[in-house]
Amino acid sequence: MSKNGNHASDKTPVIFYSAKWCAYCHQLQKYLDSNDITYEYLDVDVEANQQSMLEASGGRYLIPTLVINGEVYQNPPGPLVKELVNGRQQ
Amino acid sequence: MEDSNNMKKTTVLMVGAGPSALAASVYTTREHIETVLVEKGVIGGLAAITDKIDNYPGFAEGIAGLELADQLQKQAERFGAKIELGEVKSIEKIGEDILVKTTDGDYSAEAVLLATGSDYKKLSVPGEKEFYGRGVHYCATCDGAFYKDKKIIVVGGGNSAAQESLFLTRFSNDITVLVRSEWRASDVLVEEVENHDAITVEMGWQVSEIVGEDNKVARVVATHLETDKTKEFAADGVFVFVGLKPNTDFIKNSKIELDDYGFIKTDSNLQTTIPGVFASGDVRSGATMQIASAVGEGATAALKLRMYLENKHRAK
Ligand SMILES: Cc1cc2nc3c(=O)[nH]c(=O)nc-3n(C[C@H](O)[C@H](O)[C@H](O)COP(=O)(O)OP(=O)(O)OC[C@H]3O[C@@H](n4cnc5c(N)ncnc54)[C@H](O)[C@@H]3O)c2cc1C
Repeated sequence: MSKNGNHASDKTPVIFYSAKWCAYCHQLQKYLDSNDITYEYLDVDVEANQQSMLEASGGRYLIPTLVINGEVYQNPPGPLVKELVNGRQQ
Repeated sequence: MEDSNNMKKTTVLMVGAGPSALAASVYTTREHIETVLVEKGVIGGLAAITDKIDNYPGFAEGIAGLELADQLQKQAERFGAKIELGEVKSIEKIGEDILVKTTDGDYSAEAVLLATGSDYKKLSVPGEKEFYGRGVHYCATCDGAFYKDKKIIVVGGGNSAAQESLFLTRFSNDITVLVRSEWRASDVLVEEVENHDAITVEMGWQVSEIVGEDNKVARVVATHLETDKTKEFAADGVFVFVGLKPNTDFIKNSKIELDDYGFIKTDSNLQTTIPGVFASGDVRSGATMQIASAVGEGATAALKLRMYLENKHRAK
């Protein structure tokens, strides 16, 4: 399992829609990495990723968008993400 | 450190981790004063979400906001500042110490710095809340890239509106700025906006509604203040920059005095009406809303705070 999160394992229930230019995304990514939370990183500058994010979020253009166990969270606080994935990833 | 009631203890607690608190924490931690910063949003505050900062001294070619925020954070952490993510909910002086309640537990601190800055004001018109994220936005550097080659309306006439409109020209060449009465931005910015081929400026329009179709923004309805005429402006995205309001809701019920606009009043030592509680940066009454001044006030507050702690310990 990759610690930097770019290659999530099959077990990982977190999808992380992000972009290079997004300050909130950088901060959340640092938090996820420092808490060993793995995720699948999808850059919304790639059209297909942006489309799948919009489908997941019901048309809401906001990042970071996370899909955790199928539930969508937009710009969630790091500690909440940790709480939501804790049971699954520890 | 944690006591038996799970109350965490620190010498200094700073509310917010924007430029002001980060600068202050460099000063306190270099003096080996234990310092915890509690941040509810993004480390670096508004500076972190500003595209490029051209007027912060020391960077001849300007610096990206995200880069400045990163450097400020690293510098503060190098000396031992501890940054926690969470939101401060209340502050109260109990005896000699200050009780700070956060979403991530309670702290007891000997001194506190309030450096919570300000947040975007809303238009408070129908459709604004409903279409937030579906065409309504408050941060061009955060969300502007979603509007590549789309029609954008910017609402506002201050420095932020002007600066953010110019930033949005990276993505769109169809931007209309609706200014309610007159420009309140610097002449340099206004000139740049008005001469930009991708931007049209419409003066005198007050937005009354944001209307959507298919679950996303379709147009903005506005009334002209002089002619009373109502017009609909087609839009894929609406970026609202109609000013900032201080982040002081969490101290509204405390003994800290605020001015008529909700900013924190301080004396010449940057101390609030509660001894041991200081304030600096954009949230302070009389602030000049610039990173350089927020950083300068942070340094001043840290030095005054140190004097406060020294006097307190000497008196014991
Ligand atoms: C669009 C835009 C462009 C700008 N461009 C420039 C520029 O080019 N040059 C310049 O000098 N200035 C610029 N500014 C102004 C500059 O960003 C601010 O003056 C500066 O960031 C103020 O720093 P601060 O630390 O006082 O507050 P902030 O940067 O606002 O930081 C305060 C922090 O406190 C946090 N906070 C608030 N409440 C709580 C709470 N209850 N609990 C925990 N944390 C909390 C916030 O999340 C925030 O991160 C710009 C501002 C905007 C909006």
